[in-house]
Amino acid sequence: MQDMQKLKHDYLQTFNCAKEYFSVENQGFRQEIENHLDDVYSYVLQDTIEYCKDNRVFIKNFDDYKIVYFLAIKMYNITKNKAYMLAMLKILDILVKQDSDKFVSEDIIFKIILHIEKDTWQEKYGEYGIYSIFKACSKHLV
Amino acid sequence: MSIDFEELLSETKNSEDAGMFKNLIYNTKRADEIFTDDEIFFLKEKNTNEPQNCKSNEANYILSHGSVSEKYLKLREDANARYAKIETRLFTNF
Repeated sequence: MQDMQKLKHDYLQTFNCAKEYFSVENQGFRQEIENHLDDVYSYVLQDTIEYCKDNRVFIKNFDDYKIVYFLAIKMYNITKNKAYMLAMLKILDILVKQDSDKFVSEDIIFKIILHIEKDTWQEKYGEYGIYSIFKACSKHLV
Repeated sequence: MSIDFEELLSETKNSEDAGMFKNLIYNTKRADEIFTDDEIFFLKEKNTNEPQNCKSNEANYILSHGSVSEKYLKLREDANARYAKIETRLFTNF
């Protein structure tokens, strides 16, 4: 039970971190996320749980890379505003650089943006591909 | 499943931000509806490949200071320059 309380608290904190990243990109994002909080908060959690099931990952605490990724996708699905997807790339890019000496090349980012613009990113990268590219580049393993 | 709000509320006792307080309660209630033991601990015995603390350095900084770091903002400036270059390249592609 104590673990569960910690986990809930951890999700809340991590979700708010992700919201902070998006707010730095655009203050309007913060308000828009707040406006859809009811849906977004629960769907991002459910998507994260699904990811962990699919990838056999035990959830001990929540990874902000994942929350940023699923939050962007959910907000994009709700608003159809691709700026969320582009902001997500930039946020993950910054996090990777801060966490490691590695970085995702401009060529790869260029290709991802191209697929986002053409709406072909899901067929090209699958459900978790974009997240995995950045996560694999960080010091933490996917 | 009920939530012990005491631990969560202790964080905001000194805060004058009523909005943040309300938000915390709201989100916690939402979490209470979503979390179940089965959902979260289904893989406990099978895989533990996520590190103890899988948050980024920046997330840990935000949790301590409440906003993003100077380092993050500096890296963001670099990223903005890089993305401007990529966008120019994209423009020539369309």
